[in-house]
Amino acid sequence: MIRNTIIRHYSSITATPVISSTVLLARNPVITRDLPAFEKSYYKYQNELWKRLMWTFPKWFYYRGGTLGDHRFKELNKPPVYNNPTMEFTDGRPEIRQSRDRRFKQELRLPKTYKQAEDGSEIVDEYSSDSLSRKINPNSRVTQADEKNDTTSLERKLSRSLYLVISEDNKTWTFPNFAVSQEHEIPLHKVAEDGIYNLGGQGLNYYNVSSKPCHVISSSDNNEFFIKSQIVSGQFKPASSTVKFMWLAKEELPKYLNNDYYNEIQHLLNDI
Amino acid sequence: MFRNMMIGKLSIQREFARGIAMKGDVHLSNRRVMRKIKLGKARPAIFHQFETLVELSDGSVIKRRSQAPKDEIRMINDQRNSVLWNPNRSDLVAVDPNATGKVNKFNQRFASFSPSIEATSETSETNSTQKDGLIELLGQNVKEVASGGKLFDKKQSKSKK
Repeated sequence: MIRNTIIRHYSSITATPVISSTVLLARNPVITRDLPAFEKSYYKYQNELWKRLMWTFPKWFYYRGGTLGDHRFKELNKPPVYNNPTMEFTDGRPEIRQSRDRRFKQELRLPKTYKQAEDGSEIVDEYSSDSLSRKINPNSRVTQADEKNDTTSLERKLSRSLYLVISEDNKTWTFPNFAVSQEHEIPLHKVAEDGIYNLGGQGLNYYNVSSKPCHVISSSDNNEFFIKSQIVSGQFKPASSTVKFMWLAKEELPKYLNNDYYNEIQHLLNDI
Repeated sequence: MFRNMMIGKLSIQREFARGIAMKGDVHLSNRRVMRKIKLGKARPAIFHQFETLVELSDGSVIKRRSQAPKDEIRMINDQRNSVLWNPNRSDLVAVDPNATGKVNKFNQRFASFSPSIEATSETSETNSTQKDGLIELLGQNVKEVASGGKLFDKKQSKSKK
């Protein structure tokens, strides 16, 4: 940059600068951010404290005595050892109220809608895969693309913002950049849109944050404007096989981009 | 005697002092019974809560706390397949499963009198036949028994006599 400005001051050549429009095409985070270790332990502590302070579960309210539900609940939750006055307790006397030891948090097991094995896992049979009473398994935060380290997949790093970088020769990686022609007066964001569609096919739905550029890198012979946009649906599939592309998070970008270039635009990129 | 009198005097003094507002004193309502909270006796009012996994109709799972003794809930109708929240989706059909009110009964009964209501009642009938899965369980070529015929009227038969 410094060298460029010096050249601009002392050069006598007045060539018209090339205007180009660069797309910062981002994929927004799909899931909540990953918590740092400190926050994780903080929430764990608060959660355990919450559980310890909770009142005794009002079993009589939810399960009427003598019903099938009450029976199932009783089978899973055996009453604790009662405070036998003739016995000696080495760990302290149990303080039983409403068949719960008040010295500890109350841990309950609930009857399930599916058949359970001894360890609590589901017994899978031929009907269980599509039945409404099957076990609920939350999806993993780590996807297959993460395990394979597939950088072209949009399903990698679900908790991070990803940015599209492309390369013609598989060595120098840049954000997709398109030159604005001097004859036709096409606005910057239109140039970016047409360029992305020509490069990555029509099977892409994106949202332009603004038609105004968010940043410019200017030198004597080049003005590079940055247009922010977000991918909403579809895939980026390059029309020509020579174009390689990757979806990278912010901390992966300096490995591939030019160092000065990255420092110039790093404030535009999301940290999460 | 003298000692007792002294104690009495002191207690009177104390009671007297209680009524006087001092600078910086906090005044609470007299009706409120102040009770000292002993150490370790303070408990926030938290009902027992279970950690519940809620699976929405599109397969996404949410973890939440709930007082009800259910730790897994699977939703059939929710915001992910409701017409109200997905106005741009064409594959959703608005079916009112609780169309059993007085107005609906009236419409079904007197549908033939007005053409506009007829159209709506027809669509609701087709919807009900589509949604009724029990009839399929009986096997092929089963026809539903058409109800709505004239039933025996106790009052009328009595009046005829």
